[in-house]
Amino acid sequence: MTRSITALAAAAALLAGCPSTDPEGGDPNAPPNVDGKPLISLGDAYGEDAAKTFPGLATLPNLDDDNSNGTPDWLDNEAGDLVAEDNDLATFVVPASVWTDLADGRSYRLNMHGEVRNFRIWHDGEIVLGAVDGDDLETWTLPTSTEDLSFQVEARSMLSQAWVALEQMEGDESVDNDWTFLTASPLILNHHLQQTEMVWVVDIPASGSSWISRFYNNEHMIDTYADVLGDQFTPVPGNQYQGDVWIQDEIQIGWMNSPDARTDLVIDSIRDRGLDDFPEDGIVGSNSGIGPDVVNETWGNPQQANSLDSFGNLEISPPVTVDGVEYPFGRIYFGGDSNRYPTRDLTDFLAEQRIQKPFMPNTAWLCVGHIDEVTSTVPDPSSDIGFKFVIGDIPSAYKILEAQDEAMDLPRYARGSNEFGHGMATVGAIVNNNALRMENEEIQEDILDPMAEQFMEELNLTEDDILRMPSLFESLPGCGNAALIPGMVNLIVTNRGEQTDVFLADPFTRDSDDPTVGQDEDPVIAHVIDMMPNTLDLHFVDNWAVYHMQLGEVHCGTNMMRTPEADWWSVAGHLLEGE
Amino acid sequence: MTNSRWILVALSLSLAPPAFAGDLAGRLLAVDASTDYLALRDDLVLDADLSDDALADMANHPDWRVRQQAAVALGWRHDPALFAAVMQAEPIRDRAQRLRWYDDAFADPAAFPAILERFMHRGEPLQVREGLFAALVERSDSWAEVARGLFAQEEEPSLRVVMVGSMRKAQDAATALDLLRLGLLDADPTVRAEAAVSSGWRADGALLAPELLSALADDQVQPRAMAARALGWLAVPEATEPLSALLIDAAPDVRLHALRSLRRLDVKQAKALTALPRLLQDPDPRVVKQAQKIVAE
Repeated sequence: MTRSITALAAAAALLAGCPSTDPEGGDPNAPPNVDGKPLISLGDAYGEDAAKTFPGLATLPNLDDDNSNGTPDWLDNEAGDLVAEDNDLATFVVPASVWTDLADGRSYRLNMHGEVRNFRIWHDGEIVLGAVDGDDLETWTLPTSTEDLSFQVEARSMLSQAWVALEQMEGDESVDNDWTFLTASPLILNHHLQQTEMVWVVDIPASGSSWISRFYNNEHMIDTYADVLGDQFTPVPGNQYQGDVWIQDEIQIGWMNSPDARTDLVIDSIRDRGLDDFPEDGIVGSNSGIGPDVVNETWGNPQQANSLDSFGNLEISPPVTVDGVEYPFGRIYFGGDSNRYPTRDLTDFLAEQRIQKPFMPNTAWLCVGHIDEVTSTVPDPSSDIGFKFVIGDIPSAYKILEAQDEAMDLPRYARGSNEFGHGMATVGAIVNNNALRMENEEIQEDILDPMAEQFMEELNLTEDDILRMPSLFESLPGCGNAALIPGMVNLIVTNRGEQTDVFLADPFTRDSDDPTVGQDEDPVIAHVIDMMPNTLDLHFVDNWAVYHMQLGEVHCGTNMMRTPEADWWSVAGHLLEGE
Repeated sequence: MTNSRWILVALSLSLAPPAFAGDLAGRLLAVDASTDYLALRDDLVLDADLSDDALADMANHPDWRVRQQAAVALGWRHDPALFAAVMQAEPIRDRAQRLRWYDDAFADPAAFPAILERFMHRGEPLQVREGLFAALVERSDSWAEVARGLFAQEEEPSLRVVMVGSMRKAQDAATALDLLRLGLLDADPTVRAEAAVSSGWRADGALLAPELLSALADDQVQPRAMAARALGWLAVPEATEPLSALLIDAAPDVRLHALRSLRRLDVKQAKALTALPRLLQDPDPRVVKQAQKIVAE
């Protein structure tokens, strides 16, 4: 939605032939609001003058399926029979006091202007304004009432905009008026500072007796999540989804809300691999324990999907202020370059939401190409901005490894590529590999340094806001680069009350076959613990075979639902106004 | 391990004792080349006049295809379950959609000839064949030689890229360098570019300096850029002059890698480059950064 509400309202007013109610208030002949009292009340969730201050009454796109009949409620309601279970309607009230002392011969009528067919206003179980059975109702005369009259509003789609005027009529003449904007919620995507409600990981248990079967499992990761999160963690049976573990890639979850209602929206990726049915089974469906106030939508053509359409490549910063503009829900970023990028159907839609203005760093150098391979954010209550930006960093990785004994065995790295390894048996095999060093130096110079500068500019960060995560990459012939040291930047943040946990890959930069050598003796882990804000509880999980060697890490294999924070109608109106 | 199983493993690892070749080698080659492969292979397997010992004697034959076909015949005779399992095994897709096999059959040391047979003769889609080739790498002493043998007849450039790339870590230096030379002359620029990169990865890659220097004149950008890059990685001093000539290349990637390689070769010489002031104003910020780095060092 890029139209100006000013232009929209002005155009609508002209079309409706009632310039006296132009919400711009620019018409000097407009009848006064006679006694200054508002004729429309939005309720306690709104501040004074909220009705006439954009975005006005926050409404909800009625896209969910509260009666579980397989049809969005907006469509169910089309014929004028309100879905009994519908819980997505916003309310405004015309107080009974407007009829007190009303002069004889006067009455009230409601007019709707703007995107009339994108809203419906209900009263007493009937549609009085907006879209109904193919028509647009634009005017309705109110009955005289001794009680407050309550109106319920639903919207067709995100950021639909209109305004409703209540006019006091004397014959055909409007002698008093009040009005309110109606704005449908934008889609807002979750960021790492929000509270966690539910976490999902695809469960790949150990099976069989062979070495590979024992090794190719994610039991340590599953057990860690279960121990830490309890019933806020749900393992997803891998055998139902063809062993597709990349649950971050399949869905991205956001929300739409109004003061009285919330709908979560699952963006279902066009990647369409094994987990394609998971949103329907595990989140939206009535048996999921989460629906029905959840919507599943897809943007783009699966036939044209590329790796960048996966949602490891769609991330959101915490709230930032950039060039004086507040982004209270953060900013969206996704990787790509001029030749390869996520489907425009989705990225254009996200840009149209305006509330989390997207930008695109370069990830074309990576084999998989996802932005979560090299950047993330973690909460930091001690920071002025409330978080730290985390980015992969090569010099720190070399510095740590060079301080170790070159003969130190690295059993996880030692095995061949067909046995979940990198063919590098010792620390020396890494630090003395000239080509590996040259390649990584180039990545730092050409990619990571400019990327850090880009994030500093786009998110208004200072050097103090950045954490440099030790990282090394290795190029794969015919593909691009992938993590050599398991990508710890590819992390998961869960917030439960004051408790914040971070789940990230165990780098195994130690003699991990020696049972006496644990994570507490891993020099890279020690560095990361020292680097991270001390308010975070870090959990280094074994994601080696199932994730790391398959070109992903912990974040790639995890997804979650979070609790909305802040009211967009209160804090983000400035992002939705204007051109 | 049973005796027959030992023979199978030995064949796949080329460890069997010296052997007599005779007409059998020709028959095995004919099977390998046949358009009616499966029928002829089954004839071999079921041929009661063809002894296991005769097949085992092929283990040191100089032609890898003979060794392979003998191993296949023995494998189907003595471990058909393993071979069938390899043929039927389903891969998993990694996050980049590459296919990888992590099952017991593929992990068996005796599976190499079965995987290779599937790769060569099953007629599967390109993506499957790429995954199967990856499964062959480092599984046998002869895999580099096999890769070289397959390279010449492989029609798919993306698969030739993977074959050339697999030479980065090949222990068999002569074979690896030979294949990389072929790669640097390949008809497809993506293969030539990967051959240049993989040459840079090898500790003995400087032995390919003449070919890499020639590649600096490639008419395609990426082979030219990657050759410039590899010559810097390998610190080939003869590259200084031709790399300097590339600093006016129209392609930013070529200018970038040429300049960085010159810095790596000798930063003092790089500081004296007459092109340096112009490169400090280059339209590509990466080139500017390299030039600034040279000035600052």
